[in-house]
Amino acid sequence: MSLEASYSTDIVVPKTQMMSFQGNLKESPCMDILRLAMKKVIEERGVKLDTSYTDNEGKIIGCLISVRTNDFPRGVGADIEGDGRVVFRYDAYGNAGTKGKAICDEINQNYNVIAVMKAQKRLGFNVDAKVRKTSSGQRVVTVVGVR
Amino acid sequence: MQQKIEVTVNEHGDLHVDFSGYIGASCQFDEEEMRRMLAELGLKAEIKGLKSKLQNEPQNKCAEKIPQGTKVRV
Repeated sequence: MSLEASYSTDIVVPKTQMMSFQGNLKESPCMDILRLAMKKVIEERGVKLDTSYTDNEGKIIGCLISVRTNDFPRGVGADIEGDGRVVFRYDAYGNAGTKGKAICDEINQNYNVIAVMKAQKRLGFNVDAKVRKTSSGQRVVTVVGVR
Repeated sequence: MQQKIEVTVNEHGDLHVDFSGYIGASCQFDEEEMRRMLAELGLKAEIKGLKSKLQNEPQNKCAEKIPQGTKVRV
């Protein structure tokens, strides 16, 4: 029997990690994946990882980890809520919403790809990933695991 | 037979997963295991749709429909 499945996803740090890495979530496996997902954005868009983002008045707001890019220097910050949910924050003032959201979507997509690849490897699959653009310009990543 | 899991990740982070090459219930086991591992890695995957591909596989469909021991006139 073979299956086809579709899922919606959320980035949520599991309770076990919230407990064991309490106060030092930066060292948790989920944060490693988030860091990698953000680094991938920087590879494509430039600039740096940081621990803050900036609002439209220039005020610097601290967060767990952030990404600042050439096309969105204010940056997008990430924090972990009490229930483990990862949230992205940015100042959308002055038409910046589209760029901010695009960066959030890219981080989210990268996180999913990295997590799927790791999960498949743990299941004993040989894994490969390919990125393509659809005719409407959307970025789609296909991860194939073979065992 | 080679087992294959093909996962398509779209821009919104939705996953479409195609499990192929499985025999019996081992496919469901891997589906559950993959979801469990994703959760451990911080990716909570909520099922939007799940369907067996039996209908697309004529040889399996045939095997499903004919109970063991049934005489088939050729």
